[in-house]
Amino acid sequence: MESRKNIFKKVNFAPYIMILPIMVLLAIFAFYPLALSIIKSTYRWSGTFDNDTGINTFIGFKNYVELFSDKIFLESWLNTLFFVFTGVAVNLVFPFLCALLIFSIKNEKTSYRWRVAFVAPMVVPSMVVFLLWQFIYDVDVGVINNVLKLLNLSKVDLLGRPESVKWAIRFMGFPWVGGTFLLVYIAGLSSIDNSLREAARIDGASPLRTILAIDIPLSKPQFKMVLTLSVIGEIQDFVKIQTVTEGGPGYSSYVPGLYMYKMAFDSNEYGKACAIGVTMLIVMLLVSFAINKLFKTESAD
Amino acid sequence: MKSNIKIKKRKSNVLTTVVLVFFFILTIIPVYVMIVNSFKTPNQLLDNVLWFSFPLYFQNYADAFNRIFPYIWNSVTISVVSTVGITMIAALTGYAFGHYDFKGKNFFFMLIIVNMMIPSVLTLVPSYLVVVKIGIYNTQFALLLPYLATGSIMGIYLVRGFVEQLPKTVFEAAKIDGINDFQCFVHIGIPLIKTILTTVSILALLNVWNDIVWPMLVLDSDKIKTIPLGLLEFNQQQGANKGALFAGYILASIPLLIYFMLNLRSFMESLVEGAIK
Repeated sequence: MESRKNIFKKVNFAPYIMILPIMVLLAIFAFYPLALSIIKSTYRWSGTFDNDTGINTFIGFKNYVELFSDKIFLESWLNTLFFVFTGVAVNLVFPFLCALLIFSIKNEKTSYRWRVAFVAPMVVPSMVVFLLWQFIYDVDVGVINNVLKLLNLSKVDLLGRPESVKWAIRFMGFPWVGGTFLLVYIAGLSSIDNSLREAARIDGASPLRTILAIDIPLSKPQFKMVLTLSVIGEIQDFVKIQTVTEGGPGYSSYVPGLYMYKMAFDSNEYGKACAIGVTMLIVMLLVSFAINKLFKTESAD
Repeated sequence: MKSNIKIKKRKSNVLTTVVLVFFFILTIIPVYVMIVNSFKTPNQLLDNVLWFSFPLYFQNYADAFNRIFPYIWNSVTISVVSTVGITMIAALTGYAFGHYDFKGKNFFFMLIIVNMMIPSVLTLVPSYLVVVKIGIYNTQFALLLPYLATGSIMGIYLVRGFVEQLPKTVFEAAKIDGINDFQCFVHIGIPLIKTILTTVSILALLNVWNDIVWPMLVLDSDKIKTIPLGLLEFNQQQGANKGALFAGYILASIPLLIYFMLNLRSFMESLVEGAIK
């Protein structure tokens, strides 16, 4: 009797009560939707959400089969491939260059001011940034066409032509240096042991040589992180495209996320939309896994 | 010889500054476009968009204010409430995981953390269904509750890491004093984790403030729409005065700008912390 009481007393319920709110919230708004989207991806689920008036029947993998012979779906993945590769390229190069420059400033105050200057534009809401870029590209009153007019050149519709629209979207945010990636790189550079650079300098290495031999290789964890975040970000993000082109002209800037959104909320084909979502999840998991394998960082925290 | 090196060094400093200034100018082109064009009448806008047109037209700001302010207010309220809620949940849950040893601890923690891997796009459709089914569609709860769920995950991770590094002895004294677990959390835990809670709240605020897709899906009435939706509608209106639109963009940027300037140091640190962890 005595020992049973002891065991009972030993269990402290406080931590369970403390984690209860988040577990309940996640059950409703994360786990249930996740399970539902995987299950419903094998359903023809369309029309209304109401089971009585809408269609809701199990069809196995038919949604997936249909998607893989769907030209729009395939084109949207090709477009994503473009955005992933170009996005990774700019995020690996430009913020890192800028970080090297800011890091090379020895005066602590000046260096801090530069960091603030490049982070400050982040206070502009992303919707405003999208709309401003749309205006910059605008074919009638836009900034670029005003400049071209000054130079006596003819108008260009960068967002309106299939050949240029993807590049125009990529160049939104040019020169891609502001924001968190810059801070990540600077944090990485600051964590490199300075005696290494000192040794290189004494050995007569040029600044460029020091960057190539020390800064770049030792920033590997930061590169890996930026790589992962950019890939996942580019696969997921469709709001920017929805705002500036709605996937057009034609389907030349369609991406899977946008296709999923339209499939669900314009065509009311929820089951197929879930199937698109699941393919995106699978791709993202595979890519993260591959990056982790390729860039094994020994001292990852 | 020595002066030669100095000159070389100064040269490279000048070059660094020049390149940085160049980068910075390019970065703020959209901001510049926004400011310059916010002072224009529709006719001035047709004339040129690259530089100020005189006389400056201030009426845009008054027009934009009337139009945009309700949305700004909606965004501010939902952001503040969500941020406070997320921070509280992250503090409580992160503290529980960092401070206690309990059965199933690792399992529950994994269950929470695994959500970081699940893209929000994937669950967009079913989450929308949930919101409709439980009857919170087109209310602020349709934003708040999912934000509390998915927005707290990162914070929980950060708080747990922070609490684990605290010396246990700080809490031992409290146990002897005979206060219960929750009093211990409120009176001893919270003051100790204040710094990390600042980070959590800043990251939460940024996410909620900038969210576009979710509010677009679950909010329908103008009375509760947030600022991105308001701006989008304003932008799509045919014949809208573009100058007022730019003024509206600026007004929409001001709340976060003020917050940023008031919390500069912690803002910068939070961004790094949020990205690196």
